[in-house]
Amino acid sequence: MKLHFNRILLYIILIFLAFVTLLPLWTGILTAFKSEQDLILTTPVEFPLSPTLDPLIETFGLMARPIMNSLVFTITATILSCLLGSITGYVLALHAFKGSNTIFVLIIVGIFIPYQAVLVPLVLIMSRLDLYNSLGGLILTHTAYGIPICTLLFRSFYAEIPKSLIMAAKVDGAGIWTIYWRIVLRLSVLPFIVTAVFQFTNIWNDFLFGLVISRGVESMPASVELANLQGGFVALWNLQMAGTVWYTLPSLVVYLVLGKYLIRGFMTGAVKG
Amino acid sequence: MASITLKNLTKKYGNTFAIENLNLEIKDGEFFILLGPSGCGKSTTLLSIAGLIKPEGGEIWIGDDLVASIEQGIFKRPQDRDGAMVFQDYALYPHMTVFKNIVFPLEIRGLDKNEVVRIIKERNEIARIKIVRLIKDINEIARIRKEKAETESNVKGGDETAREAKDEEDIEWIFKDEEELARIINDKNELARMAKDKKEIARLEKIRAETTSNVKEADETAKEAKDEEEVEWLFKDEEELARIINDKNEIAHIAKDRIEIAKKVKEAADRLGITDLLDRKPSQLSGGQRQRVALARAIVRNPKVFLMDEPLSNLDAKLRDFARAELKKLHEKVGTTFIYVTHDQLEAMSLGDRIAILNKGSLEQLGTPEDVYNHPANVFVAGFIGTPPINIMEGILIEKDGKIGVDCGHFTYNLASESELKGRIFAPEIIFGIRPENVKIAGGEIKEGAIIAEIYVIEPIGRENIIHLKIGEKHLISLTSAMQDLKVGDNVSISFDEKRIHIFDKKTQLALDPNYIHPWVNYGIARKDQGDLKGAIEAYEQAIALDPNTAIAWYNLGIARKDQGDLKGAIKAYERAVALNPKYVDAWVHLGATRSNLKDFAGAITATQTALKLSLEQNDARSTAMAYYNLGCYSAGAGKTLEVIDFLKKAIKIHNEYANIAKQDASFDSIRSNPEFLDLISMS
Repeated sequence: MKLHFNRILLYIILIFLAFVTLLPLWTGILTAFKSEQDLILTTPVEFPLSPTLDPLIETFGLMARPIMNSLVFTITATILSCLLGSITGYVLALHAFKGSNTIFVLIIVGIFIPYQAVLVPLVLIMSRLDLYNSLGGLILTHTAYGIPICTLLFRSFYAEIPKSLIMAAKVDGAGIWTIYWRIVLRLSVLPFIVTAVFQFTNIWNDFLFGLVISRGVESMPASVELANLQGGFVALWNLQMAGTVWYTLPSLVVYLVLGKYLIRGFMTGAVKG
Repeated sequence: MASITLKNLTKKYGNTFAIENLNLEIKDGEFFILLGPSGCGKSTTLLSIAGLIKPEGGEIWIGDDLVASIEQGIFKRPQDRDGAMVFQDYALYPHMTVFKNIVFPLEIRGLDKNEVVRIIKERNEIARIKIVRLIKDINEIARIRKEKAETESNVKGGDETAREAKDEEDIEWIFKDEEELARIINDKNELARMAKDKKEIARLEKIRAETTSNVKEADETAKEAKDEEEVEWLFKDEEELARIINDKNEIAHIAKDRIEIAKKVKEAADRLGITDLLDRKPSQLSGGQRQRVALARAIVRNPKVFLMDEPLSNLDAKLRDFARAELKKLHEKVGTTFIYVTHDQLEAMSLGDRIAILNKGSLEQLGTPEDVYNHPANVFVAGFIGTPPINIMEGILIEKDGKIGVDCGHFTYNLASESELKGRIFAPEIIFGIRPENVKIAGGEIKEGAIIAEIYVIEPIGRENIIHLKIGEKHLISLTSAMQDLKVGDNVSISFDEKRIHIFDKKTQLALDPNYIHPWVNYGIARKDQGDLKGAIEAYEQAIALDPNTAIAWYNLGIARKDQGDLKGAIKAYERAVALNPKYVDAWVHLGATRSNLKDFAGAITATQTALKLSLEQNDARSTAMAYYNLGCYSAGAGKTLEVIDFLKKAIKIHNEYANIAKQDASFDSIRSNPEFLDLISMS
């Protein structure tokens, strides 16, 4: 019986924690369906009196283009940074050469450089390259900024691939690229998913680079547009929350689709022969 | 197929040598074992041959191909050396099926393009010939049938429409095949001819079908047995056609290398009995199966050399015994050079044609399993090979009543074959070794003068018993038949198999085993003992002709020449001996003595000083005292009176200090009582 009681207690605690976690999501989604009248008449946790799709429709018009922009540069930069990080991590982990550790440390230092520190040179370089206020500029920036963390993740994963596997491939006649393409890449589905989700979230949520590098609608990221919904004088919560719903949707889809791989990736992170 | 040669191979990790100046010559088709404890450099050697490790110095040859020479700046990558390797953990690619695993090396290296073209052409030619033959056959059949049909008055067209429809289908199918062929072969002329042939076939097929149907009608009416036979023959032809179409599909596959590769994979899989596993992933296989897959992946390419890094050590004991036998069989079948690394002496003994025993990066001994077991070159090899391990005891060589014996403290063992070791009396500290199976326990009463031991522990291991014996403080193991009735605590007399005793020099740890020394040298020594100096010299020269690097042969040659009176020749021989083995004390001593005989006192002193230095290094009191004495004599000869006194004083001092050791050695006393010695003393 005691066990039973413990169980119940556990579930109560879990339900409470779930409630606390989901509360913001709850209020956010509810508010997105409220009219301006309901905003005043109801508390944030209450259901709307007369549910309406207007805020969602209105913000969709505003957010559609920025979300497309964000999707384009986030997906591209995620793929590029994962690929480059994977290659770098592969070489550093499995083809150590003289000075490879120093190079690794130098790459890792990149993780700790604060965004703010690079803003001025970044804008200068982007305008020199004619990439200022363009998706290309955002892709380049996020890819470059993502390489260190991707390298770190992939290197630690590849370090667990048995050395004999690489040696066997070499003896079988494979060169450094063949080994990567035919063996290492095929073994890194999980780390790719983990790193990609991580990178996707990072880039999707980024605000500062988007704010600095983009100036107009052609490259405006969703995060920046969401901030613009705040308005100057009145806080239109229903519009802001509706915008947030649109903004969260892609991340949510990514997590729902890849969630189980993500957990597995974090759990194992190793190849089982 | 290739031989492997390593010359002065050296590999360092930090400041420690993993391999130091390793020289090996592995013969073509040999099953060669690198054996040693962990950290002895055996795996490093293997990886260097594979090209996975870059050595710091030396050369590696695979056949006539110099694959690594650090001095010449040559280093071929593993993919450019024709080797295949099997790893301890098998290193199967976990994401690939067994088939893909085995095919990987073939795909990566690829079949030679010209080879592919050649195969395609060959196959096309075969197909073409077959088609032509078939057309001829069909024409012939058609002609016969037509004649028949014409002569048969009651023959009528049967199910012609339906058959035509079926033919059309066939034609379409053949044309589909042709399209594929066209895509792959890219040979328009060839293709055109094939197409023509096939159209012809199609036409003839139609005719044949027509005639067949006609004939069938006819048969139905006429019911002729003869016709039935012919119909049968016709059906056989149909099979032939099916086979040809099959062939053509094969051609299409070959164009993508597949058939040839698949055949090789199948061959390899068949050899190792894993054909049923080709579609599985490595994770679905047992340890033994994985090991087979790894072997299949190695043999599929027909490499020049197989490199195996402890491939059996991850298997459980029972499977290992089986796999060992399989491996031996595989080597017989494949016939390629195998280089096999192991720390398991049983594997080494059972598999190897020859074994190289490594320790701390250098070669301890190289020989057949029989060699290293029965004639270990040094104490390390003796101790490393054999279970239960060899009994090792320190002892002193003594001479009693003209016989040589080994005094191990608690017992003395008399050697029957005394002559070979007689020369060792000047440095008698030795290590005595006897394998457990050569320690015999005699039942019954204890005889006078026998070695007596107490039975300490009896370990039954089935067929045999391991008997732990105690002789005083000394511990000895004997391997005896389980049939022998023995009790713990019994006192028994033990004996050693005379031919199987091993005696090593304590300082150098090297074998003094008479059998290990070159037989020609022994032959020479024996002849010399008989007084046949000429014959002895011939024997030594024969030994030198066989292996000019045998220091002991040169040394004995020197002694014999000196006895013959050829002092200059003797000096040359001694000089050669010390050049080959700079730590050869005896040779230095004799070189000094012979030089002094020729009144070359300066040279004598130099040589003797080297002998002195070595004796001091080896902490050998007797040799040191002798060297001082000799130096004293030579200094006297050279007229350096002051030094004579000094040397002789030292000689006497050391002699007195170590008098107890020297007690058994009458020779030194004889020196002391030598009138010359007394002269020298009085002179100085």
